[in-house]
Amino acid sequence: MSEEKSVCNSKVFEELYGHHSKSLYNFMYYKCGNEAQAEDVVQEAFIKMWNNCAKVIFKKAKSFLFTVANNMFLNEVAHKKVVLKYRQMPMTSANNEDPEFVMEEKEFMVKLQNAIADLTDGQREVFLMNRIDKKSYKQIAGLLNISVKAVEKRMHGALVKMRKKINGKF
Amino acid sequence: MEQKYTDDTFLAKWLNRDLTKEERIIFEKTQEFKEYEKIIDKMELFQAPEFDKEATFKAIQDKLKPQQKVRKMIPSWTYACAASIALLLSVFYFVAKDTVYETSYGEQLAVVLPDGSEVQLNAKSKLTLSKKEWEEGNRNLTLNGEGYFIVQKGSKFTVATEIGAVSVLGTQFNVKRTQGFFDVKCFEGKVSVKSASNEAVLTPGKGYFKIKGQPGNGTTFAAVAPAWISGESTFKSTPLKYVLLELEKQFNVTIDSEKVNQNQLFSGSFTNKNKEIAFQSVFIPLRITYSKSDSGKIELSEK
Repeated sequence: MSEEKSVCNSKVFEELYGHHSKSLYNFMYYKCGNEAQAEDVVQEAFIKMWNNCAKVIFKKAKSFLFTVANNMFLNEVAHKKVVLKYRQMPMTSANNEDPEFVMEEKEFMVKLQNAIADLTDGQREVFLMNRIDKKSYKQIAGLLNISVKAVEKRMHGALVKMRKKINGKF
Repeated sequence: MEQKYTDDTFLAKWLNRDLTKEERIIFEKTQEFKEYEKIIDKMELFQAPEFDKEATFKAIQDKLKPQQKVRKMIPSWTYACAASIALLLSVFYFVAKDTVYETSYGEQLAVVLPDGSEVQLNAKSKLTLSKKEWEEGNRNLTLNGEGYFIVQKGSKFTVATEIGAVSVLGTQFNVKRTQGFFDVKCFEGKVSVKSASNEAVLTPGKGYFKIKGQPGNGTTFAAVAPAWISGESTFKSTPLKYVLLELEKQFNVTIDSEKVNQNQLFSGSFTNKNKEIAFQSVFIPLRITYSKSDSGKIELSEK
């Protein structure tokens, strides 16, 4: 039996921060689309965890953080359109340099961006956590306190909605 | 165009490669598949915004500082305990405990005794007086080190040391006793010095000087107060080891004198205010060189 780590220990706290701050930040950003607010929520969530450290079990710390962040979002974070940045396409092959092709690709990216923004918060956070943060359905389910089945439904719903939006088929 | 899927998690399963082979083959033939694949493909280009992990952590720490709970290191009942113990101790202290005045390296301390007598303590000295005896009218002190006494008139005033006792009836005198070295100087009035072997009465300008194992000697001097009061240490025909002892006490140094003759006599003085000058005024006349060793000791050697 290994001894249960105390969240009140500043080393443990730092370790938790090291592991979860980035994904918590991303999660919040996928929800609210505002970098400054996402950062504020990350700060507040960790401060809340420290102030309640005696009540938080080490193994549950991650889910505590996500729950707190989610509640904060619901309570006070104003919603903005989520606009993700994307990298420029690598321009290597001669084919890609065709201006028409480049134009089309650019258009597609803008459409995709808008499609992501138009997803419901639930769909978007799950879809982006899976696609960008490469979290498995099971991990996401654990963080959001929902079933894997619910995660799969949101993934499916997100894809269907995005395709419709992009191809203009309603 | 609306494609009906087998269930509402179909695309999630496809992404996760959870479809059966048959399902997958059918799906991959459809137009939708190509569109979905493009979406997934292009999704790879997206990235989450930059997150400055360290700056945010610093911000958290800054916010936490004033909020941090003050944890009591000591439960509050111990304060009551400590207070009552302190009270008890202080009662004992004032009732029965001897009063101790002590100086460390290079320190001097002026003490006014209950009867108004004054004592100046030289460096690394300890003066103990028993409150109980003083209340009974016995002016008894114990001295280890060096002290200059200006005694108020009254009953017999005795300074006891390991080597001898010094008694007076209102006078000024200096007693020095360190590690087998006993030196009394009378500046005013009459001082009686008693040691195991002999007794002497000193008048102003007279002194008594004894080194353990040797008979005591009378000395004479011309001064109105001991030199160390004004920041100097004086010696007259004193074996070097006692001079070194005084240097150690005044400047908190350790002197390694194994390589030199410790019994050669030194007459002279050194200042207690400047270590370098003091060393030079002792060692240059004796033709001794000194250097600081790695361990911080002062090492002496013959020139």
